[in-house]
Amino acid sequence: MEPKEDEISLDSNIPETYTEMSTPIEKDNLKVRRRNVIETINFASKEENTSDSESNVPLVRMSDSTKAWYDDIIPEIPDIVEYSLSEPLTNRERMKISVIRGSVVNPNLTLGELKLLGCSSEGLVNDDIRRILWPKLLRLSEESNFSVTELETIHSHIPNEVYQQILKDVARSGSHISQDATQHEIDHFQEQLTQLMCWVLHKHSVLKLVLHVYYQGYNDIAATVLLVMGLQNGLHVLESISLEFLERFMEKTMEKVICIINIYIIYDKHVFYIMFVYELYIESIFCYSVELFPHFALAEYTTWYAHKYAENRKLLHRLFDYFLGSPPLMPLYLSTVIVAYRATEIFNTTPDMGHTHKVLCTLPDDLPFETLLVEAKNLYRQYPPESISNDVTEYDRKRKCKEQEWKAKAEASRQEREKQRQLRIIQSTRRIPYRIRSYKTITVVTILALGLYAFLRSSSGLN
Amino acid sequence: MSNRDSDNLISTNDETFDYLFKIVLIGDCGTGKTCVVQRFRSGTFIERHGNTIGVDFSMKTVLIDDKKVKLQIWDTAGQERFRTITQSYYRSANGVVVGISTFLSLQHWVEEVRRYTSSHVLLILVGNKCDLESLREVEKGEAEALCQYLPEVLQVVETSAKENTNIDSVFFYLASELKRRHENRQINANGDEVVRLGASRKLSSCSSCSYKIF
Repeated sequence: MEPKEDEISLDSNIPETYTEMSTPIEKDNLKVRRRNVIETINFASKEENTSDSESNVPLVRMSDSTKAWYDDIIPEIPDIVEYSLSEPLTNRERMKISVIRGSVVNPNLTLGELKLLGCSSEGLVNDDIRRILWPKLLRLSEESNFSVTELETIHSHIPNEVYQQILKDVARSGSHISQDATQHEIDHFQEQLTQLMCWVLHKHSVLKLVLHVYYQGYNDIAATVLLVMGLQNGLHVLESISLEFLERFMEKTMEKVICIINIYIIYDKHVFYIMFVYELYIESIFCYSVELFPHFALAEYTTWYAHKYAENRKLLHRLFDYFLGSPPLMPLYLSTVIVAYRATEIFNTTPDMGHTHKVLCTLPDDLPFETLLVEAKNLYRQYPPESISNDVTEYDRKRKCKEQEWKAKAEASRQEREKQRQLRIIQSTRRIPYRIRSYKTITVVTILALGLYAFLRSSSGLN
Repeated sequence: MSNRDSDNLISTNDETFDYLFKIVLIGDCGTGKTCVVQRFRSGTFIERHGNTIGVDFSMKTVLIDDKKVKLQIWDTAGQERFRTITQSYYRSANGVVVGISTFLSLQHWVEEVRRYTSSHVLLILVGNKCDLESLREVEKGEAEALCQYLPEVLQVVETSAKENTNIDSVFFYLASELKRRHENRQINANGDEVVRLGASRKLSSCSSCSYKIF
């Protein structure tokens, strides 16, 4: 499934016009992308050679019937009494914990069943369980020991430009820690978050020779991983999530992501309707075609909702349980389902791009997530990525044509304006004296004519 | 284009206003774009805000000469990789506020505006965080000097979202200037195109009165 998607938005499908018009930068992007894709395919094996991980098959393509306990070590899930609880467990949560405990002891548990534990109602319930099962979901091996000193200097290995960006974003990750954290706690958290990301990016960039891997929003995912796993155990978890799920965001531009978002958001019937109505509406107002850009879904997709729900840890960690056991595109299916669920609310807003964007961006805290997660899964089953690959290609082609058209138009009108401006300057020196002359001539002639007429009238009147 | 936007929206939007302008905030990461908008919109300063992913939208109506001027503000992400996204929002912008941090990026952003916006777009350069004098990268005089060569730039303003310095005035100035130019354009749109040429102002009265007589 993965390589297929890459093909879809790969630019071999781009019409001639686009390639001709594209700037050198864009051409450069294509190269980068092509290389990325090739590497995506070979990457898993390459990575396994250098790391101590278990299998050669990337997680997303691993069969659900694979045994979950790959190293024959059955993890032990502690009893409820041993949990560090911030609030009492509900009955459903207690039940789920006993289901998890019951399933995990099975030595023949399959990966599919393990994923299902994370996806089904209540997820993995508690961070103590997550700490044990997230690495299993990602099929990581036990040990990950790195000396603290190595982590302290790790930032010197990544390009300064990227490091500066990370520092800025880490400083703005405050919503992930509680309001009443002390300055010391905040500093500690920020330091660890920086180290965590730098470590993964460093390893990543060495492996892939791509420097542009960091994107704004990565910090939100990293913060969530850090809060659940801690720094030491978080290193490989974040690395694995980055490789298995986030890779497409780590390319030089977000174009491919946007294309995919576009098609997913419009695919669902309701949502398609919204898009359709909007396009018509906006077209009639602005007299040119404007899409309702699907950028509202960008943060949801690229951060697994960690950007939106940073302060709602319980929900966020539950969503991570779900996404870790789902295909990489699942966040988009969830976005689509959420938009469909909120259709009435969206239709009732002032119909313009800004208001709609605002409403779509602002997710209420009380969405019935458990139901929506099930719906998202159903939607995925109904329209798996392969089934709509042609639509993606077609939509992307149209979008790019439109964009090129617009850019060409903007450029043409700019040149036209320049030309006009120069023409006017030349013309004005010629035309205006002539005009004045003719104006004067006309006036003089008119006055003379009037005078003559008056004279003739008066003289004839006298007679 | 702006003529059309506002004229048509008046009849369709519930909230009443006399003018509608679209303003886009662009600039490097961490120049405080989001804080500037936040301060203008709600008068508050949030120390713990997150970074902007993609683009945010907000709006505010200001009163200028007893006219309601509604500003739609698009606050964009600064990171390079979001550039293709943010460019789509320039299209119909009436005003652009650029958050600047260095000289190099200033020129880059101005070039970006030149490429993707309409000719009537008004540009204001904002040097935010002027409360942090010790970390200053760009001297105001230097920025102003450079802007002599950039005719698009309307003004260079130093602001502080934290201490609420000049934030409102940036938007009020932009709004009133947009309103003024919009009105001028409407008047001129009925007259001869030549009138709009700045250099021919003195002569324009002649050419226009000749038309009136005949």
